[in-house]
Amino acid sequence: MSGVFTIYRRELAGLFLSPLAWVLLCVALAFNGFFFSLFVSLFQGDVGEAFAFFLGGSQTFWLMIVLLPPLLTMRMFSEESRTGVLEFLLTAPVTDAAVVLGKLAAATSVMGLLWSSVLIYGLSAQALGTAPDWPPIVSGVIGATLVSAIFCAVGLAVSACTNTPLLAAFLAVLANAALLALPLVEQLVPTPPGHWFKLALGHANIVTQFHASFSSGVLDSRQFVFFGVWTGFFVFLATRILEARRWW
Amino acid sequence: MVVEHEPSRGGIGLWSRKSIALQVFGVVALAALGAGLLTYLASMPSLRARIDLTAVGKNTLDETLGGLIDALPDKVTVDVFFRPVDAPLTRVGAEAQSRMAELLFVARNQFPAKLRVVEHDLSDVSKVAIRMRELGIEEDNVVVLTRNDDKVVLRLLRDIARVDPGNPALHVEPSLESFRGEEAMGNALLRLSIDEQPRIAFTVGHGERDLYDVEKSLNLGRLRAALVSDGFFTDRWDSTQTPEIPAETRVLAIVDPSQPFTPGEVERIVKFVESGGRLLVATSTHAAAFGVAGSAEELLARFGIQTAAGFVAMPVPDGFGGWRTGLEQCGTIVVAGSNLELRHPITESLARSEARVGLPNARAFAALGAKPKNSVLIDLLRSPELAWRDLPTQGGRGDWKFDSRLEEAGPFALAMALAFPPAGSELDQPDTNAERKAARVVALGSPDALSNDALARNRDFALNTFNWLAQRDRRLVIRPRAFERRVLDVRNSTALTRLNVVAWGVLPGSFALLGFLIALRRRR
Repeated sequence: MSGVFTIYRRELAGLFLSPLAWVLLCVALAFNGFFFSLFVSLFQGDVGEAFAFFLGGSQTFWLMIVLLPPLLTMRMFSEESRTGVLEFLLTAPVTDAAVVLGKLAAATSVMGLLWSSVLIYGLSAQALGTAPDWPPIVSGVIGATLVSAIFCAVGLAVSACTNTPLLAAFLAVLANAALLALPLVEQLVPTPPGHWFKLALGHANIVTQFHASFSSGVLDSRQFVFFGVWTGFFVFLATRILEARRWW
Repeated sequence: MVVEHEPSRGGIGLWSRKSIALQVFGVVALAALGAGLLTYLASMPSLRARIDLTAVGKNTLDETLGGLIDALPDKVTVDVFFRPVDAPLTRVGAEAQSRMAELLFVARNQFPAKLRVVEHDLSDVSKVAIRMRELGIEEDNVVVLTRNDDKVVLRLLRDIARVDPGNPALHVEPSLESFRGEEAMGNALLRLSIDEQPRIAFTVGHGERDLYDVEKSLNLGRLRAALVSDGFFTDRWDSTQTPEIPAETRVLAIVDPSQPFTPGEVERIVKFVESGGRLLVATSTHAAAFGVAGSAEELLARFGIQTAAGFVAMPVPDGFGGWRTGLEQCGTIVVAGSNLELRHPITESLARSEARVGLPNARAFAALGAKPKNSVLIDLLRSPELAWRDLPTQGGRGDWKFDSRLEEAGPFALAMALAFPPAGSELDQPDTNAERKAARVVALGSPDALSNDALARNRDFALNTFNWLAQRDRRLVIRPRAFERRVLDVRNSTALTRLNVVAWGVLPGSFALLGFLIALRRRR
């Protein structure tokens, strides 16, 4: 796993030396800023409500979560595969898992940077005389980064499947949307209360899991395990796909 | 036979690739199962660790409420039927709904194995109507907690929140006086967690109202249905078949007897009450049965409650700002506001929610000298001061006209509640641990108030009465979760403008500048 950090640095440098990350961050921050101001105004200055709504309560948050990670991860394998760099990477003295983890860490870091902009909003509110309740904001940022990690992992798995970055982004957006919409299956397949299928879908509800913990200012081992395990699953999937490419 | 093999790619044949694909698929499926299992295990209460980081602990329930939910023997279903409250209480209603939803969210999140919360979308009329019919409720803005066949209904602006109505004349808007969702939920769960079905026995054989008929306006079928739906077991006591009052009877109800009880029956009823039994007496509307030996009124007199002759009446508005008398409608007293006793569990919630109780053909009560020792007698419902006690004329009924020479002016007590320690109790105080066995009597001046016709209006009063009599009025006092608002003054200052500048000017701008500088440096 010593290669993870090397890959991480390489990917991070690649992202921040290309215009993509900057453009994405700039647009996303303007979008976030606009909506945060709107929420403060809507809640008549209640910054606690505005932060809670901004970090998970609103649809704009989930829209960002669905759209941004695929845009960050779309090139990570598909572009390298298209240009032939991937062959070198896979024959380098690092494991496939280290490659995937390094890239995931880089994409998640960018998302983390985006979400930590909320702290600047908090500082601004404090400077304006209304100190927010900081722990829920920090937990919200941590949670948003963990949620982003799942979607980045999905993006990586999809990127490993194709040689076309745009196709990878498109498929990853679809996959992310499907992942978020998974609990809606419950409405399509009516099941009695307490049915295992309903329970399973309930457990797989990312939105509820996020609201129940980080978004509300709670650190709960259950949600740490949930987000960690499912990120791990998609990392595992991406690694297997990468490995299968050698034989395909 | 010649078998044509597909040319291999990179030295690996088709079947090998299929086999690898199958293995990858299998491993991924196993990983998904493993992930699901881990997620499930992590949600088990014994394996969870949880820290509420908020300054006021808004994600943590009060210990009492938490302990109550944790100790529930089975899962409780919470059905939420919220829709916007009519003006002028729309904003206050929305605030109360939002806080209740937040409370339920925290409770469900903290105890997922104990609570199932279903928030109904009232725009889906047919689906909601089915569930409402199943639960036997007819109004919205309620939260219904059910466990097995037992249920408790919490009303938004009565049990969950208390509202200060404001003053339209002074442009003072209604506001949320207090949010009591925790307490209401705690008391409801306490009631659901106790597996008991108190038995109410209605006396029969003396011309009382029919307990099973739901059609005729004066019978009690709807009352019975409401009691059953509230978790009671209703029964009839016919002393000609079973001389003794059944041992498991919690409440004995006498509603509008037209014939007197025998001395033996009266003695058994008095003994039942004095030994800690509970009694509801809705006095007789029959002139011939009033006040005779063995009548319901004589029975009440044994407990220090005197029933006055005649029916209480009051003038009705004539539509031109004046009052009219001499009409049949004068015989229906509507009790509201300060005429509902705020200090008694039966009427407290009704008084706070500005409910009304309608009492057709109501008799008046007064405290008589000889009350049981250490008893507490409270007027539950009082008539308005405009009322008078309309005495029967020669035809047996009143004329609904006030005759100041013969008839007494109001106000009058129309329902009374009495509590006293049972005879021979060592703890001879009304409010002690012996209260579990304390005798309780409710005298109701109007049996018509419990009838099929009037039950829609008086349902809460009727259920509160039987719950108090059956001692299902256990009260928990639960501290409301702290509620804190940190508000930026966005109206009278430039705070929002400055926040806008930082949020969607300075911050994205600085990232754009940084990206531009990096791009410029790389180009050089």
